[in-house]
Amino acid sequence: MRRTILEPLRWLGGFARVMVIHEDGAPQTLFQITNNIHIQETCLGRPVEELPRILSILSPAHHLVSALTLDSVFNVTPTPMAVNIRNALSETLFLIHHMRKLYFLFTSESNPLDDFTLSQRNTNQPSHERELMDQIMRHVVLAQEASRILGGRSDHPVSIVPGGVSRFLKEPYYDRLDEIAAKLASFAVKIGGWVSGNGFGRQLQNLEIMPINSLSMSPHNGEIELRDSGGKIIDTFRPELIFEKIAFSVEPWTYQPFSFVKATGWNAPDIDNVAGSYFVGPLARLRSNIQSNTPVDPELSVFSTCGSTDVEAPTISSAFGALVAELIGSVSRIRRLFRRDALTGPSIRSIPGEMKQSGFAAMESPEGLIAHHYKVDGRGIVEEIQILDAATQNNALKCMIAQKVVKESTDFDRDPKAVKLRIEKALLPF
Amino acid sequence: MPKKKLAIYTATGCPACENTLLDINYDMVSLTSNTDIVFWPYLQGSEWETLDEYGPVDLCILAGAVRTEADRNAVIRLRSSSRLMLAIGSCACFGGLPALCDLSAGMSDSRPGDTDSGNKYLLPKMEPTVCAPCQIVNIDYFTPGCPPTRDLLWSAIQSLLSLGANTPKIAFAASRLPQAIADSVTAGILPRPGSIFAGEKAVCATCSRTKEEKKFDAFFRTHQIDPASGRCLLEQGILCQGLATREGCGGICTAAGAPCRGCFGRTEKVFDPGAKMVSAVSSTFNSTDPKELKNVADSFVDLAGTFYRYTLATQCALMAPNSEDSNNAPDNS
Amino acid sequence: MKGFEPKLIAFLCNWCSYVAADAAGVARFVQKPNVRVIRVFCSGMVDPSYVIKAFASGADGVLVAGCHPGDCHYLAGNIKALRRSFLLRKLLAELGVDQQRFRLEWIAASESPLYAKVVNEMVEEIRNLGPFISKAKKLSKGGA
Repeated sequence: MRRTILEPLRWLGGFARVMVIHEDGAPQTLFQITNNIHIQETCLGRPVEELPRILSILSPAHHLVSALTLDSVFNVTPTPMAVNIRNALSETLFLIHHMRKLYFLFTSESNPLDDFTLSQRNTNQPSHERELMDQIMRHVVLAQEASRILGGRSDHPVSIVPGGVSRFLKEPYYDRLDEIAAKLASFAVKIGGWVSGNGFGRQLQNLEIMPINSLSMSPHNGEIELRDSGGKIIDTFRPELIFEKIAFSVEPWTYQPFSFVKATGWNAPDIDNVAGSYFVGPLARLRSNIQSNTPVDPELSVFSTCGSTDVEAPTISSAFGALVAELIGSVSRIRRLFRRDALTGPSIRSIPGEMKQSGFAAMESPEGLIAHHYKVDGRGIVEEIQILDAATQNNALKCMIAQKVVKESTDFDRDPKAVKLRIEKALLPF
Repeated sequence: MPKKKLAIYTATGCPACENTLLDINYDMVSLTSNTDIVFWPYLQGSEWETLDEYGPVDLCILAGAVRTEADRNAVIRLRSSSRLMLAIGSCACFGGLPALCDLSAGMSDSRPGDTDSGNKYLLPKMEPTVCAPCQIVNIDYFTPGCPPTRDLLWSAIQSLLSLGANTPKIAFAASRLPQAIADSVTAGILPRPGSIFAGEKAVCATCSRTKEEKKFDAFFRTHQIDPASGRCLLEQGILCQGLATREGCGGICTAAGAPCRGCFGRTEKVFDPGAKMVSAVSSTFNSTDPKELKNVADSFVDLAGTFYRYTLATQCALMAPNSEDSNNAPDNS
Repeated sequence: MKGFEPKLIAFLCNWCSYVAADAAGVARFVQKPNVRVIRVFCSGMVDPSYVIKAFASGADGVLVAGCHPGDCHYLAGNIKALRRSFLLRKLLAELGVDQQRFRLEWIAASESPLYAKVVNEMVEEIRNLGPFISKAKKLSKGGA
């Protein structure tokens, strides 16, 4: 038996690597997560109202979904102003997340932190492109300022509480948010234009994504939709049922479980048999957006120009296109949300009067659909917790993409590092 | 003057610390103007061999706690190839949030990592408990916070990298640092080993809320009341750990209406954050009647998970396995 | 556990309990020899961190003894000790310290038999419990 390990993989929070095992027959490719922070165990025994701050370690969006779950535990309806602040924060998180991913993509073949003088810079990379990259991160910094205003802290927000948010915005912040929204809007137009002018260029790969089901939350009625690769609905259900519809499987070679749809059953990730698997995220949302009866969003025109227009056979490029499409969509929404009339109101939060034994919430996060379910005892101490995060749901897809890249690489033995680079870029938009 | 060499690594944690580093590169003065980042797996995909190739680096910025055998080996390897080591974030400084799972250990059946099947697949073994890098190797400096605030982190990195060379940068960095550290770096020498790049007093010193009299009759959980703005949260009956926690954050959580949970760790004068909080909170009880006192005390939940939220592995005297002989947990030097 | 001799740390108030302990010795009451006495000026000065440090340094039990309520040499020091004891017990329990290992008692200077009784009781209870092993040490042993 011979093993080849491709590690570390860039841009993946947490420890991920690809192991290729050559035994008799075809090589076996595994996408391994080599670490586990035991987040469920960490939450057991904690007071339930502390979970939004603890779970933000998974991603800032988990702070939001955890607070939504608390709304359900405490049976409380957030005030309209708080809802707007939450939504504004959520959109900001989308912007930060998606812009970072684009930055990673554009710098994937160079060292973004090289401080070469201009003449020494990678000549393959025109300097205006380099300038755009730096601009992306400067706008991430701006978006983070917005998320600090809205969420208290940027990477681990603190301000979303059951029934609302923990404070009013201070006076100077309204103008500042407006300013940030305008700046981000003009920048999004710039990115959009650059991308539709085929600025993606050589960074993209036309690796076709296997015909795998997708799961997303309908923006119209909040139902969860399971769609096949053609966009046809296989199943729709209320979000509350998600932990009944979805099960988890633990394979012996990785610390991260795989989630799968119970009805279709589980089989280990295999590009020739994708039946049990599904994925979530921008591309999944885009698939559902295109197939829904409502008119196609204007932002989708961007998608059609970068990568495949054929939604039925999406490529890695389409997944990046979905990121850009969502980026532009988010910017138009923050222009409406970052406004004084949306972010002011008589009350920031409703105080809960009762406590139920359990609570549930799901939402679309930048990474994809996420859901929490808590069971608490009479004093509000967490007794049982279920968390559905995007990484677990995309675990199977990522594994299959790695398999496919390895399978299609003729240079694997000669130049594993080139294969690693291709895997990294193919995994990046998920 | 040759550029300094920098390595950046995260053991077990989340990407927030590394993202903060990336952000300050754009938000403030570029990290790389006098530095080459030679090892950064998250952004550059650097392999371990790179470290050997470049020889010892001048500064290693380490985030994350030690959860697996691989983390342990990584920390040891980084130590042996770095002149200075700066732990950033609560995980690397104190063990952080991931260590909390040791508190409820045994509540669920088994840990996924405990299986033996990892052999064929080379999965790194789980350590029996989560610990901080400073419990394994010697760490020179600390910048706590979850994640660390940009100003402090930037100042820490600049003062360690530009020492004795770039006077304007040092002066700027020093203006944001605690006096003792600022004095060292402006004089051109390294701060005392074990120094913490954060404030010296408690969070209360920088918290914008006014404190009057710390007596309250009832304790509330954060979802139960909407605390008045501008008034000390503890006085309003909400557990806030500001008085046991090192300042440096500028009171950002309390300013946002959320109580402090101690991500900067304890102050120098505090022996154990839990003991300090027990003492401080108890002193606010009005009653002298044992029955009443017991009732008030019973209304508190999960003291350990709250008081040691970020520090269980190192600063909780009853949990830190080697509290007496650890290499140099912050404050013990 | 055979041959286990519990280590008991007793923080005794200078004005009452310490006198009682002294008198108990002079009067030759039978006392277990497992106690290490630390004389303090008031039970009110025994900060929770002293108790936690005692356990962290290897004590199997901690006794804090002071004057009866109302008799405090400093007016209300013992009430302070009383106020702290409830949350402290709770925190200790969460960190895996059995309830019997920590006691707060009122022992006046004249109550040397009571002192001997409390100490003997505690030592026997802790002997039955076995040595105090912190949660972290248990985890380390279980995992290694």
